[in-house]
Amino acid sequence: MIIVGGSYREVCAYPEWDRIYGSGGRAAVAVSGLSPGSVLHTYAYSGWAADVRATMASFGVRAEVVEIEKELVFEYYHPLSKEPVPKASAGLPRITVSGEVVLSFGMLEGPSTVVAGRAVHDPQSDSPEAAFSASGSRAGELAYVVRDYMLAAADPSQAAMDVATRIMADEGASVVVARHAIGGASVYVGDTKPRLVPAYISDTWFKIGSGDVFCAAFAHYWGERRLDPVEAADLASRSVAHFNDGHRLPLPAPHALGALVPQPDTAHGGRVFLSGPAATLPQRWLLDQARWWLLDLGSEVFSPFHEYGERLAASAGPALAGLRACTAVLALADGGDPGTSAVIGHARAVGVPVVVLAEAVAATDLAVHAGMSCEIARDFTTALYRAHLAGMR
Amino acid sequence: MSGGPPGRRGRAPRRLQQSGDGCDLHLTVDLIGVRREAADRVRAGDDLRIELVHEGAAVGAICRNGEGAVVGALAAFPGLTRLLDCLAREVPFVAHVEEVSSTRCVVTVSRTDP
Repeated sequence: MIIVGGSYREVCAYPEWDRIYGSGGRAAVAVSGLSPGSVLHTYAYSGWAADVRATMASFGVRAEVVEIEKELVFEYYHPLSKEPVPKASAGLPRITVSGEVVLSFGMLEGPSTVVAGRAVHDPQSDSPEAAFSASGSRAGELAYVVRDYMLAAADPSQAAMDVATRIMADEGASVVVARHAIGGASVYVGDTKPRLVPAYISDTWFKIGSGDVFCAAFAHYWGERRLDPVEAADLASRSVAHFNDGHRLPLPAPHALGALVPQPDTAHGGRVFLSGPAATLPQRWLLDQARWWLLDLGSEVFSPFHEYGERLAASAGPALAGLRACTAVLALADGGDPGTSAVIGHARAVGVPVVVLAEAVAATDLAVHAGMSCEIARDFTTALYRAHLAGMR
Repeated sequence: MSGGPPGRRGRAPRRLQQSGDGCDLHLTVDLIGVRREAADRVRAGDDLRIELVHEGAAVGAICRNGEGAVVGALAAFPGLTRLLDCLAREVPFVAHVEEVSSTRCVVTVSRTDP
């Protein structure tokens, strides 16, 4: 397979992570075992372009690198919190490739031109310049992979299906795949109703680059193996679950993905009770972040702090009543908050599942949580994911 | 605003000042392609042996556990080529295990000679 995509430095604070991947690099490593002899065409900062070549070579991937003078770095507090996208210098030479099967990603450095028998394109943004056709690319058959929010039209009366159909018409695509935030996808083929592909459960949720892995696996199964697009998207979804569990690359063969369990198929994300201390700015920031991202994942959130504000101390009764209407608890346990400990105990007593975020919790406290059959998450993103899933069960 | 971008935690620098041979590397990374069976026999605090491997023209670095089984590979970080070059010059390195599970193994790589 030919892969065209950026190689960028990715730095995350929690969990700590400082690697050179980018969409192109990650996709190339992902399919290196499934598609031997793959070639990566990429831009890379001259300060670590040799490291990109060495990494690819160690996975049997040939790297064709256009070196650039500016280091492009994506920085995150946590894997969901991408900070402003770095800007590349203008006027870089365009990458042009041709081959039987090509996977192309939109890049910060500018569009590539692709000629392919079968192409999979992820524009990575809704910028018109990132569209497949905008750079004169063409393919015998084209699959377009986008995030689901990109099928939300400016006109609210227009359905996602209409936007997908318009992409097919504008870009000459026969397939549009809309990836969901939590995993899984909707597959649009022609003018038939979209087929839903489930997300699969993983123990942890790294998230950075999961879309790249989806595209890589989909390009292999649909582009190279010529599977039906829904079947290819299902294997891509399973591959993402494998990857999420500790950023596991390269991807395994399909038989190793058979035991994965789909996420519950519910119309809503459940109702999560959010508890944690808010006495300091960092604690309050984390509580706000947790609420915001749970809502973004699709959960309803009941947070006594946000619900009652200054009346919180006098609202223990209503808060516990609210707990009984929730399907899961997310407890931000760092800081040893007595109120949160009480919520955990009460929730377990009434059979509500509890996910505990414990980045720096004393071992004795952790043993108590584990003894109450709480799920323990060591990083923020995994805690959100597990709480969202627990709420849906 | 506090100084520094969000991704940098202000910990000890990933790479120490270079000495004469340019091999005073000190970095913490997770292994790629972790093999579950080998990782299950590793504990935090263990030291893994780092070796060069050659496949055709390609050179890579892998980590082996005490029984000689491959736990995973070192790749995709700034400084990889320098590490490979130092290993080729037989500068000894060790990978100290910081965290380990069946699917993830975080190591700190540092040289072991004085």
